Amino acid sequence: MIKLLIRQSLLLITSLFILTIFTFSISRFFPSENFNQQLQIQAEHSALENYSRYLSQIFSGQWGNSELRGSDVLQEFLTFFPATMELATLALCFALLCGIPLGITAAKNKNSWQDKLITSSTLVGYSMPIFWWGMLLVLLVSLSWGLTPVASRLGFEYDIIPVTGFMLVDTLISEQPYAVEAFYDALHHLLLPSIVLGTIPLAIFTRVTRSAMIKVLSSDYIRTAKAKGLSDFRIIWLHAMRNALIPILTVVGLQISVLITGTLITETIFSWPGIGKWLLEAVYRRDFVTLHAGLLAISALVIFTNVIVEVLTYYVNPKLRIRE
Amino acid sequence: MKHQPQFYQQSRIPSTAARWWDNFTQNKLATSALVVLSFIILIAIFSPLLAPYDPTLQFDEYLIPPSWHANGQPQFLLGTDEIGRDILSRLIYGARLSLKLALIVVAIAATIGILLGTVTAFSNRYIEHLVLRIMDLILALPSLLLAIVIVAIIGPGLPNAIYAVAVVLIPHFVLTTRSAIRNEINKDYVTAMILDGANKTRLFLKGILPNILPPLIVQLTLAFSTAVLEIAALGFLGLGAQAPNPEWGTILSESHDNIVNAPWTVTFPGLAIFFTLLSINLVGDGLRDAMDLEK
Amino acid sequence: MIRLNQNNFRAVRCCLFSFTVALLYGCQYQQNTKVKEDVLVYCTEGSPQTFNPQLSTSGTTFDASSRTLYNRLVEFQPGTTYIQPALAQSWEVSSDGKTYTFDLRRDVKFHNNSDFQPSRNFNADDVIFSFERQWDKKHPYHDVSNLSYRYFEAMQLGSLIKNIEKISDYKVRFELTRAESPFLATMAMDFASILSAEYAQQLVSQGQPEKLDTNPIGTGPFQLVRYQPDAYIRYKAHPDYWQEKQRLENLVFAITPDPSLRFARVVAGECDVMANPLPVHIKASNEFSYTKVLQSPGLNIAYLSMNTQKPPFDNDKVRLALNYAINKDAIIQAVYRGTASKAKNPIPPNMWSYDQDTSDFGYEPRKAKQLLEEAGYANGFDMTVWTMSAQRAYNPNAKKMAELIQQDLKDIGIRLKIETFEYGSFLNKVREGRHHSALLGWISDNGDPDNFFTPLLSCAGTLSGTNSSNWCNQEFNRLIEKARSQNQLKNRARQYKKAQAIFKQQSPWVPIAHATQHVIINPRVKNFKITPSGGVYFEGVYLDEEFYRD
Repeated sequence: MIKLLIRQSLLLITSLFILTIFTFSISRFFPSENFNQQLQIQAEHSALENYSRYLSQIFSGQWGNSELRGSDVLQEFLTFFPATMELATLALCFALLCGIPLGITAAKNKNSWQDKLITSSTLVGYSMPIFWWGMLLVLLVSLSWGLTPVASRLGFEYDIIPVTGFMLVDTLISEQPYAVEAFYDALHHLLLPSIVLGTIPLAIFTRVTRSAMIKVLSSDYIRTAKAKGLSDFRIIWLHAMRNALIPILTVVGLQISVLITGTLITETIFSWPGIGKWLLEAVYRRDFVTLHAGLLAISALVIFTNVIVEVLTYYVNPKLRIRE
Repeated sequence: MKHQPQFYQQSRIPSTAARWWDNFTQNKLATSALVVLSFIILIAIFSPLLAPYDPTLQFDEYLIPPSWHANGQPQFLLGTDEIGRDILSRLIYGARLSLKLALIVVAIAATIGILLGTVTAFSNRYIEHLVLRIMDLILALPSLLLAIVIVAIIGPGLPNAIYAVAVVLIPHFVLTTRSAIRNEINKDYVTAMILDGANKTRLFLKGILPNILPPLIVQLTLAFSTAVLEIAALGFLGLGAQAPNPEWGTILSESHDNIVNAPWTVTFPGLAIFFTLLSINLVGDGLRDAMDLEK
Repeated sequence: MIRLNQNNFRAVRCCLFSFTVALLYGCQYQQNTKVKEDVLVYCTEGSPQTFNPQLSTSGTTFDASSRTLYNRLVEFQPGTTYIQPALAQSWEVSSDGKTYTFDLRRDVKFHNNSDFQPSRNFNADDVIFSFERQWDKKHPYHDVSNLSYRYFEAMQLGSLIKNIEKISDYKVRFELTRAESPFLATMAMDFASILSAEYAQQLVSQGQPEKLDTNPIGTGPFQLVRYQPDAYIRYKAHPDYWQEKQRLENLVFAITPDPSLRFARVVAGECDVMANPLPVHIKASNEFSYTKVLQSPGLNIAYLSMNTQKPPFDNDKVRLALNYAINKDAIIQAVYRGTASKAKNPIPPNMWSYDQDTSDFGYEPRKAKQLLEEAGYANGFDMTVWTMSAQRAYNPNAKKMAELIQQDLKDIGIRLKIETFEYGSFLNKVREGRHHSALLGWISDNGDPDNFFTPLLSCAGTLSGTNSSNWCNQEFNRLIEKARSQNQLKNRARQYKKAQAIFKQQSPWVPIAHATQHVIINPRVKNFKITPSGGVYFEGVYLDEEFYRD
C-alpha cells in the first residue's frame, strides 16, 4: 500500500513537472509582452534560466494579474472554480446514478428490447453535440414548459453570502430564514445544466457498465451464486458489482477531462459563472495571463484526479493488491 | 469455356476485406448508418447542384419559418435566417465545408500520428518513454481547452482551427499505432519474415501494416467524428470558421440570437451535426464489431 | 481497508435514495412569487470594470456605478438632457462665464456599511477630493488603481480648469481658463460623480486605498451589497438617501453577456429589464406576455461624410446632388427595420436648438442628375466609401447601408466602391483623413449641441481629425464659437440655428438617420425611463405589487 502511494506520488510529481515544461514552452508562443513581464521572463536570459524563474513564480503562487480586472489570477481562479466544481460533480453524480442502473438493466436482459433501447440511446447520447442539446433543452424545458430556470445559480430573491462558493453548501449554512428553500432553489437551478453536462458521460458509463456486467455475469462464480439460489439483487449488487466496478472506475477517471471540456460549452449556454466562461472571456480579450493560469490549474487538477482514481482502482481491485 | 463442370465442391475463401464487409452488413443498424453517411457525403460532394440558392444570397424575407409552417413559404423549404439567407442552402453547403474540414484535420493528424507512432514503436526505450509521456499529457488535457489555447495563440479563423483540432487528435493515432505494432512485432510471422531476410521497410509495409489496419481504421472513424464535433464546437464559440462561412457550428452560433423567437434557425443545423455524428459513430461501432476488435 | 459489506450497501442505497428524492423535489419545486416581489432584476451585458466612474468610459460601468451609487453636483432630468440641481442646490455663473460657484446641499448622507461609518455629511471637501484626484497629478490618490481618467482628459478639463476652491463648507468655486457654456452639462456627466473624501482618508490610514474603487461609498439612491464577478451585483436602497428612500428595496444586476440568453430570461420572467436588445428581439417581444418594449429617440446620428478636400467633393453641387440621390426611407426600412427617424440636420431632433423648419432635400434622382451635369460630371464619377464591420447603436448594419446607397448612386451614374474595415482601424484611418467618403455616426455624451458641432464640423476638428469631412467654413465656425461662450440658452439656440442653415446649404454630409433606443421590460416595472444618451437609471423605479396577484 505504501509502495503504491510512493509510486503514485512520484508519478504525480513527474507529471506535474512535465506539465510545467509544457505550459512554459507553449507560453513562449504567447504574443503578449505583459505575460512575460508578469512571470519574470526576460528575452536576454537563456531558456533554462527563464524556466527556473518561471518555476519559482509558479511555486510561489504569483501567477500574475489578469489584464481585464487587474486582480490576481490565482485568486480569480479560486473564485470561479467552486461554481464549475459544483456543476461537474452533480453532472458526474447524475451520469453515475443513471448510467450504472441502465447498464445493469441492459446487461441483465442482454439482447432483449430493453437492451436494444438502452444501447441505441447511449449512441444517441454519445453523438449529441452538447452546445445544441443545451439550447434545445433550454428551449423546451425552460421556455416552453417553464419547469426550470433559464440561467444563473440561484434566484435573486434569495440573498446568500458566498462563503465556500458552493451554492448548495452556502445556502444550507446561511442563517437566513429561507435557507432550506434557497437550497432547493439552487438544486433547481443546477438541474438542467448538470443534465446537459452529464449526457455524454452518462452514455459512456452505461456502455461500460453493460459490457463489464455481461463479462462478469457469465463468469463461474456468478453461476455458482445463482445455483445457490441467491436473489438477483444480491447477485448483482453484492457479487457482480464489485468486479464490474473496476473498469467503470477507470472510465470515471477519463471522464474528468471530458467534463471540463463540457463545462466550457455548458457554462456559455447557461451563463454559469465558472471557469469555463472565465477562460473563454480571456480568449476573446486575448488575456494570456488568465489563459495560462487556467490551462495550468485545470491540467494540474486533471492529472491529480487521475492519480486519485488510480489509487482508488487499486483499492477496489484485489488482484492488484495481491500482486504486490 | 462457357460453363466448366464443377468436379469438386469448392468454397472460395473470402478475402479479409470481404469477410469484414460480410460481418458489417450483418449489423442492420450500422448498415443503415452507412447509407445515411454516404447520403450526407453525396450531398457534400454535389452541394452546388443540390442547393436551391447561393449560401450567402440575401433575400428581403427575414426569419421565414419552414415551409410546412402556416407562415412558411414554399421557396424556402427550411425557412430563412436573420438576414434573409435560405437555411437549406446554407446547410447543404455547410455539409461540404464541415466534412471537408474534418477530412483535412484527420488527414493531418493521421499522417503525423501514424508516422510518429511507428517511429516510437521501433525506437529505443528512452525516446519511446519521452514520446509516450508527452502524449499522455496531451491526452490528459481537456481537448477543447487545448484547442482553444492554440487558437488563442495563432488567432481565430479557419486554417488555425484546423491545426488546433489536428494537434489534439495526434496523440490518439500515436498511441494506437504504437501499441498495435508492439502487439504484432513479437508474433511468429514477423520472426519468420525476419528469418526470410526481409529488411525493415518490407517488414513494415508487407508484414505489419496489413495487420494493424483494423485498429487504425476504427481510430480513423473515431477521429473523424471527434473532428466534426470539435470544429463545430470551435465555430460555435466563435473561434473557428468566421461569420459568412456556412460551417454548421458557425451557423448555430449565429442563429443562437434567435433561439427564442425563431427556434427553427437553431434546430436544423443542430440536427445536421447530430445525424452526421450519429452515423459516423454507428459505422465506427459496426466496423469495430466486424473486425473483431476489443474496445 | 474498506470492506463493502451488506450494511455499507444499505447506507449507500439510503444516500442514493435521498439524493434522488432531493432531485425530484427540485423538479416539483415551484417558484414562490411572493419572495420575488421586492427585487428588481436587470439583465446587464457585462461586468463593470470598476465601481469608480472616474476611471472608466464604458456605459456598463456607469450603469453599475455612477447611475446607482453616486450623485453629481448637477444632473440630467430623468429621460431628458435638461440640467437640474442635485448635490449642488444652486449655482452662479460670473458674467464673463469663467467662474462657477456651486452652493451645496446640506443633510446629504453617504452610504453606511460595516467598513465605513461616515462621521459627517457630504460637504465641499468631497467635491474638492473628487475633482482633484483626476485633475492634480500630484494628488496622493491620482495613481491609485493604475487606470487613467480618460473621460476627464477627453473633455479637456485639465486645461480648462484653472482652480478649484473651497469657499466654505457648502460653497465651491471652479475657475476656468476660458468661457465655456457646456461646462455645466459636463458636470452632469458620469465621470464627475462625487466620492467620499472621509472614506478615502480612512482607507489610506488602513493602507488599502484601492478599496475606494472596488468597495464604493457614495450618496446615491442605492448602496452596494455584494458583487460576484461575472455573476451578479446586488444593491439595496440607501436608507438615508437625501431625496427619499427608494420604494424599490432590492436591485440586482444579473450579468448576462449573451443577448439571446438575456432575451430568454426576460421572456421567462427572470429579468425585469433587459439591456441592449437586438432588433429581432424588439420585433418578437410582442408575442410574449412578460415583455414590453420601451423606446425613445436616441441622441445620435448616422451620416455619410464626404471628404471636401478630395475632388469631386470640393464642389458644392456634387455634395447637394448626393443629398438628392439617396433614398433615406428605403435605408430606414431595410437597415433599421423602421426603428429610426430620418435625419436632415447634424443634430438629433430631441436636442434643444434643433431647427424644425429646415426643409430636407427629398429623394429626387432627376434633380441630382441635373446638379451633376451643372457641376460638370454629366457622366458621373468613381467614388469610394469606407464602412465598418461592427454593429453600433446608431447603425446596426453599415455594410448593408452602403450597399443600398450603391444602388441609389448607380441611378445617377456614380460608381460606388465599398471598403469595409474592423471598427478600431476604421476609426484610425478616418481620423487620418485618408478616406474619400465614409459612413459614420455620433452619440451625444452630455446632451449639449456643442458636443456635435465642435468635434464634427469645426475648423479645429479638421486638425484633430474628428471633422471627417475636413469642412472648414469661417462663418459657421464663428457662429458655434460664439454660441459656446454664451450662457443664455435662447441666444445659443439662435446661433446654432443659423449654423444649421449654413450646414444645409453647404451639405458636407448626407445626414441619414437617428436610431431609436430600445429597452425590453417586464410590465410590472413602473416609472422606468430611457435616457437619451443610453444608460439605465433605477432611481424612482418601482415594482407593481399587484401584477402577479391576478
